[in-house]
Amino acid sequence: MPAIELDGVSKAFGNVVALRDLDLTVDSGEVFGFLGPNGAGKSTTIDLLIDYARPTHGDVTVLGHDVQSDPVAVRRKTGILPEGYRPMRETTGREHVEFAIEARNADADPDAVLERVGLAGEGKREASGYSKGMAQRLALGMALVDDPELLILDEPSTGLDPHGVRRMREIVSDAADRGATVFFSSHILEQVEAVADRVGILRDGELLTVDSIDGLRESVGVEGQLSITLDGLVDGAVDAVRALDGVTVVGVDGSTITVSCSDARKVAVVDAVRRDGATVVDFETDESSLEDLFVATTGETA
Amino acid sequence: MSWRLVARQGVRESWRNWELPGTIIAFALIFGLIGYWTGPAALGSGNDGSALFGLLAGTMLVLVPATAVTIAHDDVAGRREDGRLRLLLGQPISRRSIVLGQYLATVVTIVSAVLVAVSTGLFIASVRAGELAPPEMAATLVGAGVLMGLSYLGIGIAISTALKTTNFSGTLAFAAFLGFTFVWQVLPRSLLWVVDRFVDVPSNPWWLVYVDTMSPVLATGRLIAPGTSYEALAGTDDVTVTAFAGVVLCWWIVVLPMLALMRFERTDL
Repeated sequence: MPAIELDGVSKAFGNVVALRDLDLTVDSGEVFGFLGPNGAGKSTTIDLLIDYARPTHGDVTVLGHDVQSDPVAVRRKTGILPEGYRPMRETTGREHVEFAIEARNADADPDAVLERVGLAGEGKREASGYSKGMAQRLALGMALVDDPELLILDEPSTGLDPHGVRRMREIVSDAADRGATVFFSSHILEQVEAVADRVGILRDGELLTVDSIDGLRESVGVEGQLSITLDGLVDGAVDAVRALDGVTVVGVDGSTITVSCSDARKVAVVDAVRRDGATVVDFETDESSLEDLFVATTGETA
Repeated sequence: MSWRLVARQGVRESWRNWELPGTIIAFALIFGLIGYWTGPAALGSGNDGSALFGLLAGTMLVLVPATAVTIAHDDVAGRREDGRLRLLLGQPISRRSIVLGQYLATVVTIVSAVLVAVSTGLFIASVRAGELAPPEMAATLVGAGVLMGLSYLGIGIAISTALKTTNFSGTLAFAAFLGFTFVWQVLPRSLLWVVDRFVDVPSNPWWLVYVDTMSPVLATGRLIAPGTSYEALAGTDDVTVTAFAGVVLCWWIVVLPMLALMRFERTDL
């Protein structure tokens, strides 16, 4: 059963169309990264998944439930880290977690939850006085109560320091390991690349592509770089590489040749050099990053 | 039963931010002072306490509605505006439970304040006069205060639920307070006077009393007063009008918040 299904979903705010005819399926157990430039419609999509907003057209189904008709059933099985929230007033961090435990009728230890998100020892403080990063950790802790089947995280790294970002990545990996589905939007492309099974790229309310990162590399054809160090520069090797289709020599530095080519052509480059009689001492590849793929797909930086 | 959780959280917040104890203390002080100054004359020397009742009821007529709309207008709109609602709704809690829970939390504040205020005022008056205030007076004041409080809370919660920002909800709630508490007492008659070309007619049309009764303040009086000997609440012996007053209060306390909730359930946060 798919964890998330969006079928012909459109959303307009007055005359502004935020999403256009979105079709998307996220399988159960999948870690799905949702990317797009600012204003692309990522948060609007997430709002539709958790009934913070209602679609103008189309159907949204989460964990087998129609979100509009049974939002509480969806939220019972889903941990949500929303965007643009604020902690409750006059309420400590621990009381926030206790609230989530009681709302979910769960049997969890609030202190263990706080420790899991890096807030051990901070539970007695009023959460309205937390820094942005601490509030983000607290909201994540509330989302993790009772190990939900689905985690929906809207820009989960916002406000987090590097330790927090790493912990967030571990939490996503742990959730995936226990079979949960994770749907998250992020601007930190390295993080998406590290944990996502598939990514969807949204621009101007339209889903441009949905694929694995390797699949994106193939379909987009963004070039990476390959540096080959030979035991001595052989002029013929450079000519042999230049003769290959789809390969551009971008530099020769001593006995090192650097070329730009698609990932699929890298083996052909090494073969060409060796056929010419050169001995490869070392080589280094630099794959096209998700950022390169994102820029190639959307024409914008994240 | 997540509305209980929301209500408990609401009461906790209002206790810790001094909204609940502050309201109780303020009400008790005002009613206590009235009891202190008017108690001996109103209850002593064989007087029946009507003067005391009139002063307490008149004070309540302004204080309770003003406090109720002030507290309630922010309850949903404020949480919606600053993002607290997004955190609450991340849990398996329905929008209905949030509105109901917040409504009940404000009810706790108003009902507690009315109970403590009436008890304090009548106790001090009785001690000062050396005469016990009639229990009927206490029951009428508490009944009137609670019904008026619930009505204005209903109006405030409905406004708060239907609007997205506290600027709008605050303005509309204040207008509702002024309109129903003061303007409604004179507006229908004034309009009638204008329609009748500025001539006083000998008797009011039959429907005027029903228009009057649409105000929560007058509806409360007409529902409560027939069972009492106090005229300060503008009671009536007309059973139809009394029944209409019950319907009006039901509208403000239950139906209007439900209509606002139905709209809230279909709108974006």
